[in-house]
Amino acid sequence: MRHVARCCRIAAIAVAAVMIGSAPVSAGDSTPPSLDDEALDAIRELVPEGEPGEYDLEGADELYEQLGTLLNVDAQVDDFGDSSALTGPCGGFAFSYDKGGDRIDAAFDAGDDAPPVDLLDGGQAFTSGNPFKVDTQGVVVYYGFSPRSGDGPRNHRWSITTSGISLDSGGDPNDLGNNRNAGLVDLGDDLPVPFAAKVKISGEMSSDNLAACIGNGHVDLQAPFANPLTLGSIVVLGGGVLGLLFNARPARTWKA
Amino acid sequence: MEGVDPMSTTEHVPETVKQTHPVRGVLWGLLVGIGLACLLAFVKAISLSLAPMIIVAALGTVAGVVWSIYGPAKAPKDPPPEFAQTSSPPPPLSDAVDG
Repeated sequence: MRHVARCCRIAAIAVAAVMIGSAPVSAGDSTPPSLDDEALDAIRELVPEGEPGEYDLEGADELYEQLGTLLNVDAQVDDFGDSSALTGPCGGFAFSYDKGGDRIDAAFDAGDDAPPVDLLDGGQAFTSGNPFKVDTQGVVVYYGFSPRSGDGPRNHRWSITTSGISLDSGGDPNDLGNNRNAGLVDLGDDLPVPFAAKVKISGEMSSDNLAACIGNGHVDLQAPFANPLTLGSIVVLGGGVLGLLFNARPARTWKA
Repeated sequence: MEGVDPMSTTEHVPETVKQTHPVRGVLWGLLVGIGLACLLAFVKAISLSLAPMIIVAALGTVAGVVWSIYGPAKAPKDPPPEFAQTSSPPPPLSDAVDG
């Protein structure tokens, strides 16, 4: 289970850029922008089909602007003022690639009231019906901001949880006021074993100068069926069944 | 058969009693529940979160207890004992001497 927690933590960090700042994905009161096939094709062309490597901030900024334009959302979110706690001045994008470097999912969040968008099918991303797919032997490329323009979160504190259990938490004074980050998480390198699962992850970040960013999202961790944790579960289950059959079954004994 | 009163001999028909193992049922059932919960989570039949996994583990534990109490009982391992014969013990030696 330590590996599970570690993977969840890594996946959560990788997708936090998109999740945080999005409205609760199950709320259903916000819908992603409607996209026609032509717009979707144009968006898909912007998401590299093969693993692009780690973006630098300028490249990621430029790509984010292009995606925002095609999605017809305002990518410039300057001031949220007294925004509600369900949204926040943060967003970004995340692209997921499998072990072979092939694109398997991509999501985008504008940091506004709308939920994150699945860049490949145009629907709402991170829902239980359309979770963000992550190959536990692949990589996730991400870019996130908070906010898009202006000072970043000062003296921020963040946490990532699942089922109320903390997967990771931290914070930083951020004296320089940095407001964006880009990177790549190689789960194949970071995880000792691949495994598959669907997890719901929640994230929250608060700071001294910005409204809190709170988000919820579903992530689909992918791996071959014959992975160590699945096989281990079968062994544990089989051991329990054998114990029930041969050690816990009632028995008749001769009355003394 | 000296000293044995044949009239005091009693024949017992062998009977069996059902012996249950509820504690073993809890332990093995919990193992089944944990294994099943993990397996269902890793094949994505349920989400990898506390609530559904605890429910499945609890169901496995309950199933183990029910099985250990109401499951079909195994037949006795050993053959039935000889028809037991009980008799009045011979009188103590001192009594015989004194009597």
